[in-house]
Amino acid sequence: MLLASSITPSGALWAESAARKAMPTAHVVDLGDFSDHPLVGEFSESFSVTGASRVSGDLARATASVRRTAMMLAAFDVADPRVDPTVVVVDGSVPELVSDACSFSALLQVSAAETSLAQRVKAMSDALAGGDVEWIVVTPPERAAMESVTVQVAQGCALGLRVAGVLVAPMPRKRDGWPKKIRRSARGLVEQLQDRLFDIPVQRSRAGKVPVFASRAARGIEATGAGPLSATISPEAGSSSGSSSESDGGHVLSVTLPGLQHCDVEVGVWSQDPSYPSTHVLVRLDGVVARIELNSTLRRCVAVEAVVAGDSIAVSFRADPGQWPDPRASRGASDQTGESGKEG
Amino acid sequence: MDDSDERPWWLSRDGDAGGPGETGDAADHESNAQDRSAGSTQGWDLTSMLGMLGSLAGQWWESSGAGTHAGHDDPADHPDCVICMGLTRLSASRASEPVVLPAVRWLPIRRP
Repeated sequence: MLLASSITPSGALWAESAARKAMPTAHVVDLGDFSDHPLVGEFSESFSVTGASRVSGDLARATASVRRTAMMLAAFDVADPRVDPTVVVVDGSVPELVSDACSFSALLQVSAAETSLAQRVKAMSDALAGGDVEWIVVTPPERAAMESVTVQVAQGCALGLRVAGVLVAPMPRKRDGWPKKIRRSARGLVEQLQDRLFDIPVQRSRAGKVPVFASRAARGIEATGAGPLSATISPEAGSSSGSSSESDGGHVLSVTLPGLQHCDVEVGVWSQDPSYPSTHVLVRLDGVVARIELNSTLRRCVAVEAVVAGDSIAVSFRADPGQWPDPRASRGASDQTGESGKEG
Repeated sequence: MDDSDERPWWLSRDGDAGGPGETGDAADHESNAQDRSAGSTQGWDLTSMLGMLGSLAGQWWESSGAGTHAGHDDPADHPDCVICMGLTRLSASRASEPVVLPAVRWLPIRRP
C-alpha cells in the first residue's frame, strides 16, 4: 500500500499523480470514500468518551480520530484481497492518522485483545508501523510548508512508515512568468530540504511534470516487516569512564530520524505489561506519539534519561535490580544483546 | 351534564347502532342490560372483549416461548429462546469498565 498526502490542499492532485506514477498498476482510492463504510459505525461504537466535561475541547478531535482510523481500516479491508497494490490518497496529516491507528490498537490490546475488531486494527497498525506501507508527501516550495513537511517526515519515520519520497511542487517556472530570483530561491529551498532529510528522496517537479519515485511495492519487493526506523541497542558507551552505578549493566537505545532537529521532542517510557518497568519507548514529536517496542533485555531495565543531539535520540537504560537479581547476569545479557535491528 | 352523555360509546351494548352520538338514554341502558343477561349475541360486550383479549394474549404467550422460558435459569445456556437471547444481548451491551492505560513516564532530556 502507498499513502499519498499533501501539506496544502492544493497539492492533493500532485500527490495523487506522484503516487500513480510510482505505482502505475495501482488501484487508487480516496480515504474520504470510506466515510459511509459500515466499519466506521462499528468502530465508533467500540469507544465511549468518559470525562467529557473535562476534555470537551478534545472531543471533536477525538471523534475525528476515531472516524479516520475506521476509514483507514476500511481502506485496508479493500486493499487486502487485491493482487494489485493500492494507493490511498489521504486528506490531512498521514503521521497523525498512523499515530491514532497505533494508539487505538494499543488501547484495544489492553481492553479487548480477543475481539476480531481488535485483531484487525492490530494487523493494520503492525503493517503501518512495520514498514509495509509507503508514503509520498507533497509540499510547495514555501518556507513554512517545508518546515511542516520536515516535521511530518520525522514523525512518519518514527512511526515506522517507509517514506518513498517528498515531492516539491509546483515549482515556479520561467514560462509562467516567474522572475529568476524567485525560481532560484525555490530551488534553494529544495536543496535545503534535501540536506535536512538526508536519507529521504526529495525531488521537485520539472517543467510541470511529476518525477518518478521508486516504490518497493511497484518493484515487486516483498515487504519484510522491517521498517525504515533503525533502532540500535548497545552496551552503554560510558561504561569504562562513566559512573559505576550507570554503567553497571547499562544499555543505550539509539534512533536516528531525518528532520528530528526541527521537532519539539519528548521521550518517555510506557509499560503495557505490569511485570516490566517498560515495554515501549515513546517519542513525541510535535504532539504525534510513536511507540518503539523494547526487546526482552531492555524490558528488564529502567530508562534513565534521553539525549537528543542533531537527528538522533539516545535513551540510556540501567538494569532493574528486581529483574536482574545477579548483576553479573545482566552483564552477560549485555554481551549477548550487541547490535540489534528494528525494535517494533 | 347527563351521565349518559359521559358514557363512552364503546360501553354501549347497542352494537349495530354503535357510535359516539348514539349512546341512548338510561332506559335503553336497562333494556340492553337485560338483553345481555339473556345471552344476546348481538354486538360486543365487555366480558367477551376481555375474553378475546385474554385469548389473544394467551396465544401470543405460547408462541413467544415465554412459557418455556420460565424454566430457564441462565440465559446464556438457552441461545434458541427469544427471551434468553434478548437478555443476553442486553447484558452484553452494558457499558464495560473504562480502560485506563498505564501512564507514560517522561524522561529528562539532555542536549549536549
